[in-house]
Amino acid sequence: MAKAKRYNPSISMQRQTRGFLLYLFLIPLFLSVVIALFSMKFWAFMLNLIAFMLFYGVLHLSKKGFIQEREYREAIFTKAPKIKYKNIAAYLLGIATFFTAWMAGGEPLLHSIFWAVLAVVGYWLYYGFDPSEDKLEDVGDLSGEVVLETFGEAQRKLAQIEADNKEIKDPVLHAKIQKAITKAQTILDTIADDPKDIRVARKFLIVYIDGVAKVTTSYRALDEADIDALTRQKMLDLMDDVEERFEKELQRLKANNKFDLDVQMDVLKTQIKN
Amino acid sequence: MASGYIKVFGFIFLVFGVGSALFASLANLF
Repeated sequence: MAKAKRYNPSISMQRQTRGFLLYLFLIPLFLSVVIALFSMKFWAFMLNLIAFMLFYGVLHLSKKGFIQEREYREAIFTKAPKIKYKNIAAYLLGIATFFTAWMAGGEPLLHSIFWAVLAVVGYWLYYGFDPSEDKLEDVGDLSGEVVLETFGEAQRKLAQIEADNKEIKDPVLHAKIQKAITKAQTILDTIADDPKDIRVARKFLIVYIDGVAKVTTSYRALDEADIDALTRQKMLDLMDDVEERFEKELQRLKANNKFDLDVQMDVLKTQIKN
Repeated sequence: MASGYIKVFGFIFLVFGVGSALFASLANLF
């Protein structure tokens, strides 16, 4: 269930059409460059070429900003982007508009400034600003920053275990590790859905996943032909224990969520009775 | 509702501001 995503068609539509207007702006400039070239106006050619590159820069930065914004919106908890691409793009658009009007277009200074300001304000209103707030909730005594770091670290470790597992040839062990990874991923998804769980599952996130990662890395470092039957059996038993532990962890998380529900129900019950 | 109006304003400002500059540069070539 945790992997299920809400159906949201507007985002995928935006993915294709966002920034379309900025592509359109390039067409007249492209024409200007070509016309200036064919009519042998080299100075105008240079100016229009620079203007084209400036507008292309706006498009490039905006696209980066849109991708960044989408990732921010899709993530459950994340920090606000450090580099504000959309904002930089807006200012660059102002510069590009001013340059095109004043230098390439030969318009009066005041006109050019007016259009540039209009373009920047228009960009802000039409495309909006970059996300500026961290999507982090403090969870009890843990700050949002710690939550994000702990969670990210666990995910990196899990990816490392997965990479190690790809190298492990022993099919039985490979399957067991894969099972543990799947279970761990389910736990991470459950935590991502409800970050409060991080308090309950802190040991899992910090100690267990790290332990498994260390074991798989050491195992991979050995030549599999050199591993004797006893070590292999020990490893298999260990992975069984790990899986069992992860299952218990998952049950504990579920119980914790049920406990939250019970508390809320009790509260409502008391409120209704009074 | 309000965000719709803001977007339309933004669109007009953007197209008018940039469009005027682009038109000026194109017209300057003739």
